[in-house]
Amino acid sequence: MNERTGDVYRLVFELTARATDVPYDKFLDELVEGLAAHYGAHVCRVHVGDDQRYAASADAAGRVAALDSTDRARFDTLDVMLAEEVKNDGVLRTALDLDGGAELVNFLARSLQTPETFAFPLVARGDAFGAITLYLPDAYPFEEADVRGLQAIGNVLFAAANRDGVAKAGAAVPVTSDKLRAYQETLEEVAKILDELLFLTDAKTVLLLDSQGDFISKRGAESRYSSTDFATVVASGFAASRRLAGLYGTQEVHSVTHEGDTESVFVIEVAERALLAIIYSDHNAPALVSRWTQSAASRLRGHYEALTEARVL
Amino acid sequence: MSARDDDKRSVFYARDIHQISLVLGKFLQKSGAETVLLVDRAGHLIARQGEMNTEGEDTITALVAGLFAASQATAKMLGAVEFSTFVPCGDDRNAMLLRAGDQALLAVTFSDDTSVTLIRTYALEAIRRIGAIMGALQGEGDPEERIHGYRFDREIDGALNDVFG
Repeated sequence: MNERTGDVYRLVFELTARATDVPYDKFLDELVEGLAAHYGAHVCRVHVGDDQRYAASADAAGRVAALDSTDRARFDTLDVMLAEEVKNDGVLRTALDLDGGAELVNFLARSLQTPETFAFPLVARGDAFGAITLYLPDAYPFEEADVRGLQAIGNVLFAAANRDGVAKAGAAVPVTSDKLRAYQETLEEVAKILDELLFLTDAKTVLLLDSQGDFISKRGAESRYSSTDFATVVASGFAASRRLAGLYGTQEVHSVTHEGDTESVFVIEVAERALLAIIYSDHNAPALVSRWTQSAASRLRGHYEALTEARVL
Repeated sequence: MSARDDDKRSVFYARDIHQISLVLGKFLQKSGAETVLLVDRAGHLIARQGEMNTEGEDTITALVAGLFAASQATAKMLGAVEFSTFVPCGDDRNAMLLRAGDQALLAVTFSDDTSVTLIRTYALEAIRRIGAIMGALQGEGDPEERIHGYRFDREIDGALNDVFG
């Protein structure tokens, strides 16, 4: 992984890690500000859903606000058209792709000093539901990692927008005992973390398992194999890796990655007796998947005591 | 691979091992990896290159075989044919295991300074060449030369400079 690729993934991880901590609107503001700063964009906007207006906009120097009302309206229209194009066909676009593209580029260069424009689709569950538009002063050497990183943001926005629904999906029958209620809350919190990880990574399946190979919890698509069997082979592979590392002089094995033809499995230790496994397709960015999984494992560690006490582990 | 199944243990001829070791030596030289082991499915060492403490070698090869079996089972469940396993071992050290044909596994250790992509690229090429060597020698050889899990310690002598071009 080259330095710039790493930078993109770090940026996306840092931006998206806030998705579960701050209100949705604030998250959107932080997202566009972070992207604008990273890419050196004069203006960055995010469009979500069917709204004919951007959901958040970063314009640190106030360039858009400084435009006269006619130019500002023209820019807003252009921005919406670009976002709609991207939402319709789900592929990256520039202002040149719009009708009268050359004239629009001249307008952007004259009014905002941003001749370079890029609009990325926000995709979740296979559908484009929004767009990120970047207005740049110079050409930027976009790479595959940039596209993957920006696409990954789509899952995060989708997860953030549906966060309430996710939390409610795990709601269970109310219990009266304080202790049972505490257990239930822990289990709901664990389920929420797994759901969020699934949304964030657009992974196929997320599994929480005992290091002895007992399957505990699963989120994601139904598989053609038994989850219990899968948990057993994953746990045995992890145990062998740890022992192998011990012979190489360290006990510090915290993760193992099995890379297949089209799907891969990332396994990380949650605590002494628990493992978190995530199955993802090769269209995902592995570096982001591992970071998000590490983050989820870290959050699950906070519930380890409760899970042990509840005899889940 | 042309390894003969003899009591469920891979059998190789000395000259096979010699050529395989040359390939592994070139692999180390090109990729910058620290050690490389070629282990059969039963956990027997076929060949190795690189500096390594040989005291725990049998345990290491057995564990490599165990990890191989687990990885293969995982891959099978996912419907994968080719697979590799990457283990960050901490202390600036990593291990990667790759399937080498149907009967063997390549286990590579390398530092954080070495590119994972580079290791994988050269390892796949080494696996391809090892497969070619074993395939070419299939059915040949003097039975007296047969060895089980032969440990080949000779330095690379450059006799097969054309192995990697």
